[in-house]
Amino acid sequence: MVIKLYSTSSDSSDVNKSLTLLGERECEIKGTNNIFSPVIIVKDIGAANYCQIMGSPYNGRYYFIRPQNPAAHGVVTLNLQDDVLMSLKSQFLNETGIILRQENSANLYLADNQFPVEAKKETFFKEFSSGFETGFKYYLTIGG
Amino acid sequence: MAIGKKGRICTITYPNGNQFTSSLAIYTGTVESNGYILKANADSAISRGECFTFDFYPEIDSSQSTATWHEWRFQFSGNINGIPLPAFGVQMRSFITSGRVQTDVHINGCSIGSTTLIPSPTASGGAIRESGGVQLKWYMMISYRAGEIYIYIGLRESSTQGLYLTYMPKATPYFNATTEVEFGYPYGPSDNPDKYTSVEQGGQNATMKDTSDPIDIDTLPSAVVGGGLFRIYEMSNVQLTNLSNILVDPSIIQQIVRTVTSPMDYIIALKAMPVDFPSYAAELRIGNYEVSMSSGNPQRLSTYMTDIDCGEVAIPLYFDTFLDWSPYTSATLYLPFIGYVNLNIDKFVNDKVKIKYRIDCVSGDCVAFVSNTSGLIATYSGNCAYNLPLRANDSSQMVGGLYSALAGLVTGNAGQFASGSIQLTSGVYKPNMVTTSGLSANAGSMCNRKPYLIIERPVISLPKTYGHDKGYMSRISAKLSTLKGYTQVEDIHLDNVNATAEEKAELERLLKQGVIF
Repeated sequence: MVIKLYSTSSDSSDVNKSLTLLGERECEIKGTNNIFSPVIIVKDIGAANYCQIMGSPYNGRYYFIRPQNPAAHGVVTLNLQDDVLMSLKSQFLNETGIILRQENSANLYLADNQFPVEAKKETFFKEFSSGFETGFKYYLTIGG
Repeated sequence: MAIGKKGRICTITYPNGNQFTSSLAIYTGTVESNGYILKANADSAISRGECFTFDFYPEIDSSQSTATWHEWRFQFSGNINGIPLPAFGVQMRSFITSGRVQTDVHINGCSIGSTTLIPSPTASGGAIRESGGVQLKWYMMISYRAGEIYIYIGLRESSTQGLYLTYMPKATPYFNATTEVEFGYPYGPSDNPDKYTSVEQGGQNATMKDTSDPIDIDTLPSAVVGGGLFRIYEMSNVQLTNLSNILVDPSIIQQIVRTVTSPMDYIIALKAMPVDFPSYAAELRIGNYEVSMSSGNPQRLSTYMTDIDCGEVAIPLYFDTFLDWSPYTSATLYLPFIGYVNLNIDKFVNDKVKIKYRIDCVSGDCVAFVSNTSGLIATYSGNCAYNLPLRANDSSQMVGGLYSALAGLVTGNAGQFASGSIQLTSGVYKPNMVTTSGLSANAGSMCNRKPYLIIERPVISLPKTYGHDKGYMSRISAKLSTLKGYTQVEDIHLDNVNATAEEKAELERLLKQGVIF
């Protein structure tokens, strides 16, 4: 099985991660083929923190490299975690969903209870143009 | 300073056809062409919620006698934060003839919209005439907010003689209306394509169509004061003094008291009110006796109710976001003789608060009608009459008697007036004032006579990266590939994703947690 080793500083929530290819290695899958969190044995991965496993059944899926044990005799066992955002990108981007929050497609008439407002308030006074007379008038009511 | 950052492309076409194009920046500089000096400069920032300004000022010798059109065209395209801007252009023209400079601006939507003309500021204010030349300086600020572009254009003119005029003739909306450009945070919602106009499923008979009747304030009842059973006079201070002397004149008392024991028995109430009622000059009549007053005839009221229109106050959209409505923005209304009442801001924001009072002179009761442009929203009542003591007893039951008598008249039982009038000399009149501040009615007479509105608005403390890190409320249906930037999905079905159940669950969890496209 061939594994491509990458270095990335992209946030794990980035769908489009910026990858720097460090090299390719032959690797051995340890145990059964667990697509979501495989364990592989590989020689010297250098500074790689991200990888892509080629061939079936992984089909080029991308994986985060979890913290690993020190290499013994130049061989290291890696616990990988499927980066579904990169692995399935070409498929799920065609899906349509209800978007709760978005950076560029906002409806700011929707109440946002996370929107930061200060405890203090700004007060505005608006006086109406007219009102009661400033002076008094006297009214005498007489019956009969 | 430079404009054109992060791949923005700007092209300026000068009158001689030269183009200045840069994918990165246009630097401050001077270009001489055909005798005109063109300077362009702008700040470097245009990111979400911010503006960049672009100034250029052609120095024109306005003393030239030949009529000339000068025209500058600006075209903009590019992208902001990865979002493509639709191409648009601005066309500015100055017409110079015989020392006069007239200017106008066209926003050219290029492939999007038709040209919009902004009237020349000099057309209304008079053309500038300076022998030494006029320097025109256009200001153009472009703001990109929530997927919309706002263009703000102003004009400054200065002359060699030191005259300096500033025009900010229009804020020109490109996609949407605005009157000002603000910095710091984005606002102004984008059109939500999901705003529905009909219901297709559920509530099968729903039409979501209804009409609203205009609820106006009824016109004043055309009641003649007292129906002949009582009269109300507007008295001046002098007339009141005059009357007090008359009422102790033995000869006059004799005339009046043939049927009652004292002329005071006829007097029901004396009230001071800050209200002008419709009236006409008439002799003061006590019983059957016409009192001739040396101070002149008083005014007799022709109706015992009148209206005071206090005008209106607009509550414009301040944020143009949800923050303009409750519970974020609140309003309190001060109503004279009623007090402070909480206003339901939701019914008045982006609308007007209109106040009209209706006052009853017999009781002093007043009702404040609070409306918006659609109709009457609320009423509040109080009392604006300051009862002046005539003698040891008071007038509330007198007034009650009057109303009983009037009710009797309406029902045809005039005899009730007699029984009502018996009660006129007992009881204590205690005007009631509904107020949230605990003011009494008499205290109300010492307070402001004009209503006013107190609006409390929140103060925003928005981190610059809020949209990038948290996103704004959206709630639209969208294909994920059309989105850029931070996105949090509320609901999605990943039916067409060929993946394991574990992967789908993880993907759904991440999308709901928030990802960056």
